[in-house]
Amino acid sequence: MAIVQDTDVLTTTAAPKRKLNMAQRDAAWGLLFLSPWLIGLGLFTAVPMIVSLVLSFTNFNLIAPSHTKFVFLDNYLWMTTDDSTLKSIFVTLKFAIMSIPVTIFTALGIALLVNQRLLAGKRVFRTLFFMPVQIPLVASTVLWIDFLNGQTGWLKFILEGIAHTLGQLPFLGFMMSFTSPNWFNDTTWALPGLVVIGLWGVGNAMLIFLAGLQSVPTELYEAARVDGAGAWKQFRHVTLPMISPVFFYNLLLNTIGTFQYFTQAYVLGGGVLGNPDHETYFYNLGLYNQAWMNNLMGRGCALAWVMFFVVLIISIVMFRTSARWVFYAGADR
Amino acid sequence: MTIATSGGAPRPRSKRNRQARAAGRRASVTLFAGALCLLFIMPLIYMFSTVFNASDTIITAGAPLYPALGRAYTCPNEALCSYHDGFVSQKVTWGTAPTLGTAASPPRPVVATVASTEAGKQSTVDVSKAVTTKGPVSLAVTTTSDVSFASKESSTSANRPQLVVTTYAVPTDSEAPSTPAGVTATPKSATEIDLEWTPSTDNAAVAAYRVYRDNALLVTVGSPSWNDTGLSAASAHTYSVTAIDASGNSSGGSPVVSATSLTDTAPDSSKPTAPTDVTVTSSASMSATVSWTASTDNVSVVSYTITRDPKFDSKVASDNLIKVSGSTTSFVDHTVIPATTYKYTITAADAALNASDGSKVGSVTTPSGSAPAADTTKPSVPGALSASVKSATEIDLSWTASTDNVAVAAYHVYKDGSVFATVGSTNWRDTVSAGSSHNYQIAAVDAAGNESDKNAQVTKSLADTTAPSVPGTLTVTSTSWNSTKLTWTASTDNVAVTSYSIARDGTDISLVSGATTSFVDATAKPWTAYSYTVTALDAAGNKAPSTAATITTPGPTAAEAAPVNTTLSPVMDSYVDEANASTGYGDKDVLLASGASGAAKKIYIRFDLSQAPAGIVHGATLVLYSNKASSGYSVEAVSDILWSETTKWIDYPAFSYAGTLKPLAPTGVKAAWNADASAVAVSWTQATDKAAVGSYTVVRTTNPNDGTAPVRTLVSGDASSFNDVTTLPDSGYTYTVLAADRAGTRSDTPAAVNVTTPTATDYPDITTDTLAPTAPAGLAATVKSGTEIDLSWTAATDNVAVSGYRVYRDGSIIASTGSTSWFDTTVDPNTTHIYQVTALDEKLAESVKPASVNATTLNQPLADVAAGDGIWKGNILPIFIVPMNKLMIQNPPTDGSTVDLALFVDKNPDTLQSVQFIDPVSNKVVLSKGPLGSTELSRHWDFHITLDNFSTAAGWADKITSGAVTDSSLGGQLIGGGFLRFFFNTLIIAGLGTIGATLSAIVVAFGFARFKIPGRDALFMVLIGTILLPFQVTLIPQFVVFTAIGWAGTWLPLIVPHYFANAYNVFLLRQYFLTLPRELDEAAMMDGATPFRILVSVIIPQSWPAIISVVLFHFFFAWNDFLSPLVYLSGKPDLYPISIGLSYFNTTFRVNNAPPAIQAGALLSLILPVAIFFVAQQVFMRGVVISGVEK
Repeated sequence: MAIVQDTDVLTTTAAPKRKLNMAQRDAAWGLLFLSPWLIGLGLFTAVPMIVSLVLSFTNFNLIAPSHTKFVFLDNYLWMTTDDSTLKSIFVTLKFAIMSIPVTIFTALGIALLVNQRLLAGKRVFRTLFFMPVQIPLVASTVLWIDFLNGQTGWLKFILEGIAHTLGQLPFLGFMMSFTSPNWFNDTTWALPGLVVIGLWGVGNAMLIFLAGLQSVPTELYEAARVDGAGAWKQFRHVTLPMISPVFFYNLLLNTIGTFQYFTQAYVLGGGVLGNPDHETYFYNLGLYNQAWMNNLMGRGCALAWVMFFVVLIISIVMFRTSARWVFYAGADR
Repeated sequence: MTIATSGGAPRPRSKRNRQARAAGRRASVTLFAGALCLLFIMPLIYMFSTVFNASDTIITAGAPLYPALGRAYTCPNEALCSYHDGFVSQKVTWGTAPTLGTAASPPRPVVATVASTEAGKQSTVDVSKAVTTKGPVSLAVTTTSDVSFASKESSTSANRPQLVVTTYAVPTDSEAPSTPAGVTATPKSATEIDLEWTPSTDNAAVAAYRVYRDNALLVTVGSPSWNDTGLSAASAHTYSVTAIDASGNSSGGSPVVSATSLTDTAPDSSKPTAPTDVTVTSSASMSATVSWTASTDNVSVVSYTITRDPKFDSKVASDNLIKVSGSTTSFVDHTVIPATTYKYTITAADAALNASDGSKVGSVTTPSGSAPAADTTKPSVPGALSASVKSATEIDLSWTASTDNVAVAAYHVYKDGSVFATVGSTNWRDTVSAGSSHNYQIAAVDAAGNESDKNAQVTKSLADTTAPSVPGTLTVTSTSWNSTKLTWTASTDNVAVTSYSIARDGTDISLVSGATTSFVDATAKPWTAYSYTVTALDAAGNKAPSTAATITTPGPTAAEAAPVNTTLSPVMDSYVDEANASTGYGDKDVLLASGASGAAKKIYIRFDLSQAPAGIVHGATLVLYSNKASSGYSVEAVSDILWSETTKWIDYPAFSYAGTLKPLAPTGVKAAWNADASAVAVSWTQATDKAAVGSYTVVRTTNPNDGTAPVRTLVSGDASSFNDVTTLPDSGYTYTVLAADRAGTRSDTPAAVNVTTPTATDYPDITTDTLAPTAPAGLAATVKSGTEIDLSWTAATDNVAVSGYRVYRDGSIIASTGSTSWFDTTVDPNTTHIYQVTALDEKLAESVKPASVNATTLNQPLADVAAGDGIWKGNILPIFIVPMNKLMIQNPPTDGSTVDLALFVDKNPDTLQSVQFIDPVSNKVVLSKGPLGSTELSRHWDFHITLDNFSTAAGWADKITSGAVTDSSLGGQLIGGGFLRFFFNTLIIAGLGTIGATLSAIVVAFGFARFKIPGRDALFMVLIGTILLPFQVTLIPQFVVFTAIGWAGTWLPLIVPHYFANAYNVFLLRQYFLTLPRELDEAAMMDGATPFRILVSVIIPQSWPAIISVVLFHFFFAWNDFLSPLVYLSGKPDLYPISIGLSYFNTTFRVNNAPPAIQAGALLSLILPVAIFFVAQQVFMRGVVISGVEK
């Protein structure tokens, strides 16, 4: 980076005509190629962001745009007192706390499994574990709603079947009394149900973990074995540090994804946002509700900006702290 | 791995071992992964099975419920099992729409009021006033509070409305009265025959007699006599009389009697004698006086007629005759002129108008004189006319003479307006027909023919207009519960009282002859107030009604008819908002009444009293069961008997079973000494239906029976053997085993088995046993349902033998069992219990109590109604195995029987039950008794392949897009609506977007990868940063702008922005481009290729894997995109991509409970992406890795 800049400085300051022309031409071509993105960045990102920020201080709505006026911090203050918004923040955080660890570790577990030397038909398994990612979210949500039906859903039968089978064994008699949760009709189990649905989308993270696992040099394992490390120690001291960058990446992506969670919760409600009883009233449902259902665009912008800041802060915090636990093999790269 | 496991140099001996072990591990890892993977893709398997399976069972009509599939409930006796119906809704139609009223002034007569109702109690009210006949009775109930009453549809039949009707079954009178005897017919006159007969007798009372004349009914009379009047003279008639009683029984006809009316008195045919001694004198020229000696007649002479020669001037007498009354024997003729000879002849006439012979002529010659001057002055008006009835056919007229300036010549007698006679006297006897009425006037006439004015008209009638006297002192007395007797004193009449007419409450009920002064009304009803009048009548019809006499009849005595109370159920009942009577009727199986709030509702109840036993209705009580306390109600009598309630019903087989089911007796009971166990081993064959048996009881009696009490030991229903360690050596015992179901009903006793224990030498020495058994371990309590907890534990040990266990619940012994399990079926739902089990040895020494176990019974939560599985009637429903005792059936079997029923979740608010089961065989609805916990149901599976779900889904898609597809939209009518359109829309959006996204990403990535641009790395960080930027931040302003430029409601916002390079794709491609050797593009550059040329000719050909990744990523992104189309395409169903369409399935059609069809839609929406994925999986997964790992 420094070198490139130095070159630029040299070319601009010394300004020999031919060199300058070459560098300028290079830059001009480059900018030409970047132009679609740059224009898009301006049109669809930068300007809208500014507009959005401005709108967040107004009472703007599409029905009566002419009545728009600045309300300053009203939209933001409203959030702190509105029960449904507070509930949506709570729901989103609760879901993040439940979903992120479960998803990450499930992805890692499956990656480890399909990376097993002893596993026959690895490619088939990878494909099958990844495949649900490709199923459209609406379709998969609709499917899971019925699959998780507390009365007739298959998961109920599977879980109860397993539990009741285990219950036949000594010391596991308590399993006989197991009854499947009523998932989406039970305020306690609605969010865990969404976590279960989310597990179907671990394929991406799994593949990334898998790539990370495969990029760990085998010499490291061999060396560890020579040092007498068992399977767990190898995992703990070789695998984990070596895959910590992908771990970080997955964690970051997952966190951002959680804050943007919308489709599944929307479909789940079946027309009632947050069904059952606001228990799945995610932050984005609240935003959609305010901006489109209630047509309070200013309020929606404020909600969007608050989310942006939260995501930004979490990202920054994660990046900052990552230095302590993320091990970059080519750190000087 | 080799190293790790062996930990040293490889040992050839164990090589095969190691290989085998590795293969084993390989298999177990693969198996584990396979199991996990199966679980992972289980939802897809579910989807396929749901979509292609016509659910679990197709409902078809067929045989009755039992035996159904699986564990069927068999009705042991068809006669004991019955069906009945369930209520859905009702409608009321009116004969006459009800009149509105207020609570203060009800529109109909209030027959009774109730001061208050109590919650859950019946209230009774006397509505006798409204219930008097055997016909339909409608009552309206009005409240001033809000209260509901049980309706006739109430499931608790005892709570339904009732009308307790009291009837008196009076014996039906089928005995006819005796035949009237002694009929006499006495001719009384030419027009009258009097009949009389001996009164008939009857077991009840003779109500009337029917008098027949000449075989035709003449009259019905209440007296044993009748005067038949109005006959023609000398006419012969036959008469017969029958008697009838109040019940209409008629006696035979009496012997016919004949009578002939009297011959009329002979007409007067003898003429009077001719007048004699006719003397005529004339002393003045203008008058002549005629006198004669009176004629004689056998009756009387009523008039004389004077004829004259020359004739009387017709100006004076139009018929040239002048008459004088019969009492006159002279006449002064003032119509003569002087010096003229006149000859007079006199003729007498009697009342019968017989004229006598003419008298001898008397003549006179008037003296001469001067001719009279012309006279134009009329005589004065004759004085007042008086008319009097002389006899039935004669009226005497007389008047005062007129005066004239000359002389009054005669008088014209006007009868009924015309001149009847010219009379020379001032009186006249007119002979008229009997009973006629005439009016008379008199005018005087002088000789010149001048007629005076007529005097005042006088009308005289010969009819009888004098009414009889009023019947006196009418009294009415009650003679029995169904007859009254009237007596009165006779009336008098100027002619005769011919009959009396009896009227009851203003209606004539009978006639009696005028000779009678009493009457028995045999048609009176009990408990009725009557008012009688008696009217005397004469032949001319003159009436004299008496004053009324009243009476209230008593009821029959208990001996005559005992009261019978009958409870009637309503034939119709509904609640009605009278202000809106045509639509505001009940739709529940309760009767809601409200007056305190909301629209006032009244209850209409209709009973059909024809259902009451025969007899007289007297007394009725309405019984209503109210749900809560209220300030009472009033009952009105509804006159509209045409209103009707139409209740819509669903059939459900409430298969009731009136008998008691017992479990089958265990079979194969064996008992033998078991030396190893030192016990008598009792065993039996378990019932095939294990779940039905709650426990077995092993019964031991001594053999031979010495009268000691049998020893009973319970073992749980899953046991099939029991060791009896409590026997004595060398003794005979008899064992038998009874099964009991979970409700405790015992089976019959099966055959007993005898055992003799060995001698004491072979017997364990129990006397030395001083050690109690160990405590049973591993007590487990399994909650089975809301009313059952199953316990099991590990067997205890004893130095000699464990004889059994005691089960403690909450500290108390609830059972002693010989087995190591116990089913506690005597617990209530949602209660927590503490269990402990101790062991007993053969000396009944008890072990210490081990740790307790807690268990809470299920709360039996409401079955999940939000996500049912299908639509009834030919549609798809899941089949469940349902315990029969949870169903709304009468006397459900208590043996734990189950039946296979389809679950029907109905969201129709009209129905009362949200969860219904459909009997798949009879296709009828069965209602559950209440909430069913999911654990109480288990699923029944049955597979059929079907494609019906796709057509259902296609139908929904058509509905969503119907009416919205216009020619202007892309594809227009070519594509049409429905699913095909969703596909088409998605392909267009995804395809056009993909082109832009890919091209722009290639270009931008190329720029980042190959060109030195000032601030390039910073820009790249910005690019990466946009990945982290929540798109919601820009969504709203974008939406505002796109709406402003008219792009909202089109696909443009979903396509165009993707032409400006997405960070993710750029990143992916840039990373790939960086891996490409620069040498190739530098060589190309040397050859003078422009950067575009290099991109197209060098970079892109090398980058297909990454580019394809981007293509696929974007395509999938677009296929998946939800929020943007949701926001931009709102209200444009013809533009929806498949994701939005499918979400509508879930929101709009989920209410129809058809997950299979929703799943069909989901399957259609995922089939293309998944297919593409399987084809291009490697590209994909590599793309994910590139973008993920390389960062």
